[in-house]
Amino acid sequence: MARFWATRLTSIAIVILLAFVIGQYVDATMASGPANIVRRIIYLCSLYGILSVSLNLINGITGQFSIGHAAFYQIGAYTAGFLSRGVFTHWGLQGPLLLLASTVTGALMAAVGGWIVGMPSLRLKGDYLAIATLGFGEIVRIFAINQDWLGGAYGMSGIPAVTKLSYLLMLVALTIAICRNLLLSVHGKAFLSIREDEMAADAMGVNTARYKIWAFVIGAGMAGAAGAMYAHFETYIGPTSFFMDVSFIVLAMVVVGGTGSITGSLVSAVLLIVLQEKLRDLGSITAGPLYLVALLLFIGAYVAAGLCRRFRPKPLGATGIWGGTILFALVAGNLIGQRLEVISTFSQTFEAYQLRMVIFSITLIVIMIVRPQGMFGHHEFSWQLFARKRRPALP
Amino acid sequence: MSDLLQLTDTTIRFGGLTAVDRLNFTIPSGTLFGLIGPNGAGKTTAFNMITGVYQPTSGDIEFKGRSVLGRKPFQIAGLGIARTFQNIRLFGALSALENVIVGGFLRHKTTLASALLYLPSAKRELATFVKTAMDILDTMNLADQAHTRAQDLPYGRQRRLEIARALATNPELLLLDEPAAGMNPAETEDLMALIRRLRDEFHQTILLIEHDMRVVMGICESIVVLDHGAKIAEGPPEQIRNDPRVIEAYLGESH
Repeated sequence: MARFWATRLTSIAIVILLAFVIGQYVDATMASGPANIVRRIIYLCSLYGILSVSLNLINGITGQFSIGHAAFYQIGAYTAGFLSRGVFTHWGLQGPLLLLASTVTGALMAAVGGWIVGMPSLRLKGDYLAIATLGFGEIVRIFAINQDWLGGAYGMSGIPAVTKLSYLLMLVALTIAICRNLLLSVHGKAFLSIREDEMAADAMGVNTARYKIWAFVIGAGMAGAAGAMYAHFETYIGPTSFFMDVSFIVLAMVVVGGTGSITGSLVSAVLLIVLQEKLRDLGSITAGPLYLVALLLFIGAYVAAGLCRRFRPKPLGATGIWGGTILFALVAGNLIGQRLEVISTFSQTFEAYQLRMVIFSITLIVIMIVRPQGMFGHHEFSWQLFARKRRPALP
Repeated sequence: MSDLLQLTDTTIRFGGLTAVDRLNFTIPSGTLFGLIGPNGAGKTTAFNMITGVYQPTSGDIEFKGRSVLGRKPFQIAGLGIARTFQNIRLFGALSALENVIVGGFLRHKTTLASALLYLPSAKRELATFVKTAMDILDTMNLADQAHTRAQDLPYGRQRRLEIARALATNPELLLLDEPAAGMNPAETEDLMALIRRLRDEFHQTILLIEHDMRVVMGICESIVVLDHGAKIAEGPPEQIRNDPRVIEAYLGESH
């Protein structure tokens, strides 16, 4: 017992220390200049990491298809924005204490929202549930637009900027820890069983109704906490910050990462945010190479798929074929494309950011074709990957 | 021997169709009881009423002298009735071990909060659940594939895993819905031996649905025959075998 607590407290201390050191370093060295963009991306990765890990609890682990996650994020952010300006600062709360108060109340309000959405999920399944959650998301956003005390369409500004990366990273760690803890318990197996077969779970004595609601409450609470941190980071929030596309991107993160995998949700959140932000500064692209590269990639995909089917190469060989094809398409397309620029249609230039969402979407499509089960499938990262002798993973 | 389950005039109608019509039977504790009948006779519907999936239109179902009507399936599981499904309904992506752990879910004592915080109690509880589950898998000869995903197990093993999962709930009454469906004769033989062992060694009361008459004849003490939702015969196997109405229901009038 003593050993348990010693290990537990040590690991918590290490996580807090790490979060503190990394957070302080980033905040101190990247506060201004071009590095500030990198800092912003790190913040976004953390926020979306929390969102996708928490949606993974609802979608991936419990199997309740929800596409209204932005609503919980928004509830958390608005609660923090409203209470911090109107109440908490009058109480004299500042800095970390203010952030703590906002995060806790934001999480609680969002959890209540999760409970409200969880109720219909008892009667709805699959597509129908998805539509209901989508509707809930829109209701929350439109409600905010129409309420003057919430800033209406202008939103709220002047929210105290008290979010520090250290605190945000601690919240990320907490979110991951809670989901992982759950999966290592008997209760976690019950959540998973609902995803696999609700009727059978019921027959085994699992109160499926109650557990589905809990999944929504816990997942929404985490998203609400992230929303509160977002409000205190951005200092301005408005209805436009919480469009439906936030829900969809978070959903994409969960699916791309591998439904049910915490590691997958986190890694794909980071990847997709970095991709989305990095695509902003590609500069301009000339039409000739662009068209040719696209054409060659298209043909190359068929060729590579055909080769793989014909020769059934080992995984490494398949990677080689695909890699070689893509490399060839990029290089050849660029070289030949530049020659074509003498023709006027091919010499037009695009600003890359116009193509940002196109490239982003194509990436998602390609990942889903190549790995329909997501990057990690149902698997989790484990230190045992590095162990010399492998024990069978805990159930 | 006391009566474990009692159905009294249990009836269910779906629109104009009476799927089960005034069904009466009593299962004494410790027996292996068979429920047979041709396709569409209402056997699985009777199961679904006992386990709370459907509510009877009229009549009563009593388990240990208490009516189970109006209870949800998970509550009935809590009373001590476990079941398997005609079309296997395992938790496919979970390992065999995890399937059986979920079967033991009713015995959990820790709260959800302690699980979220991974308190020592939650950690210990999972360890004891793993141990119990491994014991059950051992009994069912599945221990060597404990870490295999349920959907990757061979068909016969999936059927046995379903029984293992149901046993993990520690039921007083075990309902088996066509456990031998789709099995070859050798597999069926093994399964029947296993079911007999459950009754003899573990004193498990079992209600067995079977489509194939020959299968139940060998092991059941008492059999109820359904046809078009109504009971047409009840008694020990020898009596059922020679009952003209049963022969007629199975083989048609010309025989």
